[in-house]
Amino acid sequence: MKKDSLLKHSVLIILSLIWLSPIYLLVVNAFANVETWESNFDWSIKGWEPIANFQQAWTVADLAPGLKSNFFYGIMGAGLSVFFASLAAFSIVALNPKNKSLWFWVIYAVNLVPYQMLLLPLFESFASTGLYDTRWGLLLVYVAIAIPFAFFLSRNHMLSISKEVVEASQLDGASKIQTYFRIFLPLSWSALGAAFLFQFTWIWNDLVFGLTLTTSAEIRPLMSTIATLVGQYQNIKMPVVLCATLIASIPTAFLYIIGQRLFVAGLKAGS
Amino acid sequence: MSNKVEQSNRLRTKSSQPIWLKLKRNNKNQMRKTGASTYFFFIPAIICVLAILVYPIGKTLYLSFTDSEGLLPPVFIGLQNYQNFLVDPILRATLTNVLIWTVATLVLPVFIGLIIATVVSGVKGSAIYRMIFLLPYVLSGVAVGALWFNIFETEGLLNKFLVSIGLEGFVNSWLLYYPQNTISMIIAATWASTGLVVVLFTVGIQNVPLQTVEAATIDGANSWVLFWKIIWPQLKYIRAVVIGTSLANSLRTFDIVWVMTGGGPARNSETLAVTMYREAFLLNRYGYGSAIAVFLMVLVVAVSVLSLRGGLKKEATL
Repeated sequence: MKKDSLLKHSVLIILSLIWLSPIYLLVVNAFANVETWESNFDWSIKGWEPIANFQQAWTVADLAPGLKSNFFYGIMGAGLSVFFASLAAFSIVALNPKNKSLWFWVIYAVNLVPYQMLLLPLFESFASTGLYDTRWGLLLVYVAIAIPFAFFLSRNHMLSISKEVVEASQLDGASKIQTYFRIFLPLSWSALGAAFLFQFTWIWNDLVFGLTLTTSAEIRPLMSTIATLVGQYQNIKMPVVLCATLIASIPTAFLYIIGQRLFVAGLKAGS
Repeated sequence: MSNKVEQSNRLRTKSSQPIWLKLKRNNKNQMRKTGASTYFFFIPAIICVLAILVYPIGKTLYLSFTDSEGLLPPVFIGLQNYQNFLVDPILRATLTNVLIWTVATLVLPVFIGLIIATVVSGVKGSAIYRMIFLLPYVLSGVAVGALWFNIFETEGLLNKFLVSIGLEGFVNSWLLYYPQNTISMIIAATWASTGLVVVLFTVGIQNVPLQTVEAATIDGANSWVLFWKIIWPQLKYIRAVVIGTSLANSLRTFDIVWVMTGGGPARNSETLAVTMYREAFLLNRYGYGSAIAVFLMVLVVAVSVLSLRGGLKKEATL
């Protein structure tokens, strides 16, 4: 048994080192001295200026508006999509509608469409309906695209809720809405939390929809702002761009650290 | 290697099925009342999904039968775009790349993820290990692309490393030649996506009932037998989910190729999604690009339906 776990640890440590070395490169080059920076990444530590680079990233890249928009898109987008998805999952699991698999595929199909295919028609319809470059327009897209996977996860979890509980609540005279709010919502809390985390991260890191459907700095999500920076390579040096992406990753990293427990527990019953 | 365990009565009689599965089996006679209000719960989700989907898909289908290039009003040309695509020299390159991506995604992130998830379960500090593998998932695609571009570049970090350890012979223009450019990008994608697979499989492994594992251990099953005879069969459902979503994602590979090589050089690392994007958005051949998009979508839907069916069957037996 002892030998077994020694072997396991060595495998894991080797793999962890492989996984961490790109992270090391990212950090070392993000914190390198901007003044002496040449055009290429390096393995060695060329200066250590985390605070100066973070400050420069924050001011030069003007991250504040993008960050603010991202919290709006992330929280509202993930929140609404998980709520809508859980309602649909509740119906499919507990209320036994006809044509279950039809409903499943109608909702799940969005997850299968290549996103690039949506860009041009969405751009056109947004331009003609006045949704282009608006917060609510972009939010609608995020909610719609986040629904299928959230639906998939919550449906799986809800399948594990005992039907006796549902029947008992109905015998007690609870309506369908009450059954959802009093039984399914509290019991699926952790699975919905995990779905929220996944979808928040996806929306937070989205690039293409932000680039295609918005243009002004206050509306544009964070990654699109940073991607435009990369285009202006000469003026803004790589360490600053990398620092900007690191700043952008802090909220999601933080969420995962505090959410990991929830996230594993939440998916557990749902698999 | 396994008959000992297989013949063990203990295993047969002790719960070979998790409790939650049994519960579901027992619930065949659930309430059958379906009123209109049942469908009411679908409304918000369906409205959002349809609002975003119906018009784009309809429009793409329509454009795929026209010669639209943006400026002049589109003219209906029937199946011409599809016929052109079938004889387009790029078809072979792009389909080969998609095939490489698909196979490699099944072999690398899914397989490595399964190994890590299996080894990590029950080990001290498993949460820390899982966190390490999940770190890249938190980073944005922009950061991952910039980082790996600098690693595989000809003047990049990998070549510097090879020189420093005396392996000059292995120095290579990783991103400039076929097929090592596709393989390099697959390595980058594996680094980014394995963490999620680890989490999903960990969840599946934690669902294996503890008594079953204990019983097998008492019977003297080693880790190898334990994995193949006890854990592997129980992962059936989560495996379908992981494989289904990985397949769909690999068929649609776009971001990482676009950031690292732009599909080049000479279009030799293009995937279907990149080819479609180039035709539609860079060359403004909307009609032709739409036809490729439709082709890609049919492919993704077909593969997903086939691979997810196994995982979804459970519901049909409800």
